Amino acid sequence: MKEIVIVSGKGGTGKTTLLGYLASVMNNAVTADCDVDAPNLHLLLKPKILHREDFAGMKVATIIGSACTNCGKCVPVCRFGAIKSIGNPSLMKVAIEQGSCEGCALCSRICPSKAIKMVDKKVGEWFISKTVFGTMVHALLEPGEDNSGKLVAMVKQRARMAAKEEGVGTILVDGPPGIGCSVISSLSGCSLAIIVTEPTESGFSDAKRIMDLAKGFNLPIGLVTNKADLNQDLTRRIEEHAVAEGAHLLGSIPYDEVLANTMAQGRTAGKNVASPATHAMSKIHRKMMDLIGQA
Amino acid sequence: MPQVDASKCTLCGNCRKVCEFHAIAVLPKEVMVFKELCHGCGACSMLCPEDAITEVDHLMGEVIMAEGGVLKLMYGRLKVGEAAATPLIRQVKATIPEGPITIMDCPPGTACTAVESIKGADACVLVTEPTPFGLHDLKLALEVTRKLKVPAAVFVNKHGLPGPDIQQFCDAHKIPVVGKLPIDRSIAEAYSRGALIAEDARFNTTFKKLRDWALSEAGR
Repeated sequence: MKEIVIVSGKGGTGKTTLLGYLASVMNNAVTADCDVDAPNLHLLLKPKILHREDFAGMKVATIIGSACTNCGKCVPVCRFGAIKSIGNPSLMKVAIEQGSCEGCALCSRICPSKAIKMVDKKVGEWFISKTVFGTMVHALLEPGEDNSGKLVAMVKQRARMAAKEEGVGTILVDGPPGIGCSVISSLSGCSLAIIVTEPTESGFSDAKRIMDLAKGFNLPIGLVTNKADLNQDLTRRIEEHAVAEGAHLLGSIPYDEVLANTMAQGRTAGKNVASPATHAMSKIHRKMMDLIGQA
Repeated sequence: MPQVDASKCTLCGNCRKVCEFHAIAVLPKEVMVFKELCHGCGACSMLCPEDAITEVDHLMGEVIMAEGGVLKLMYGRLKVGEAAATPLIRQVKATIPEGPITIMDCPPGTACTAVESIKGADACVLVTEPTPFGLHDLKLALEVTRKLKVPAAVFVNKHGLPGPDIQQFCDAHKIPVVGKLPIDRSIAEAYSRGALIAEDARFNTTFKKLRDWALSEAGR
């Protein structure tokens, strides 16, 4: 089974656009949206949800009001600033802000009155869906939640199970922006990482960092430069850097308002959309297939 | 990050038991710490019966300060491979010097890093685009600003794309739209060269309106 993850470092460079195109032309891949805090792939692939499940990614501390003596011993031990004493010193009350709790349970262990309990907290949901291009696994983290890495791992695990059951050979993974925990989780176990960047200084800087991260996973790396013609000189510098780092150049996509308009209407830019950008993406697809054939 | 003093450690395994993040393994002859899993909560060291664990600093990135003309720039750079950016964001925010105005560039999305950045701000500008993706993520971001009780306004980029009507959505939800930047190849090219769009005379009034809204919300 081949697992292809599309990442970028910088947001908004065209990961979902490229994935939508690949899903449409391959037409037999399982897709997985690992951008769990701002998922977008479902807007493009318009899945019908078949299965939905809560994701209780963690336990958080809760005070049992009747048992708490408001002694305040838990307040200084919390490294995450989640426990506060409210009110004046003579009438102090201890309160836990669950949004800041990381679930270490230290407070509940040191509480002399055993008044703090660790309870499951729902941090998101995950879904198995059908799209016209095949099965899609996606998720939604509750706004502001932690633990996106764990939810990503769950999405990938379910995508692998679906691909195995259906005898599908390829999983296309839409990765989150950045280089943090959810990106690390997205890269883990993949057979190819495609980095989508654009010729801006921030695009270049972020591409370098995601390349450094991906290199640590010991997998082939492909580079795609989107809107490449906006700055040919910078595009060349990015490509030179990528080659020096051992990445494969999969191709570039020109700035194309036909493609932007198609995406703005929530439509996949597939074979049916004739534009310079889709032409470029069909070449990228062929090169990608060659590369995973060798891998 | 815990450091185990082998001369005091009796391999009792209490540290492994109290670690909710499975960052500690007790082997026959030593205790092993998986630093990428550690949240730095301090439970292992505080609850070690032999007092054999001390906490040592773990370098996960750097905070950089720079100056350019009248502006001071502060930023954090996470070490590649480090998973958790929020402690670094906290550190960057703690380093901000006293001054009249701080403008913060925030990470995308709505996860813990975005929340940590927005927390405590006087006003928040949500930049979006008239695409189904832009509108979808805008709704999620608005939930965050609402939860954090930070006043928000919307700035529309790539205005003119044939996607959903952001203005209509904002009007219906009583969120001010404080500016629109058209979809225009010349803007994309200028950005690609590293030029400041705000210095383009065509958009003088657009950015002034944005500034005025932010300053009045912040009460300055």
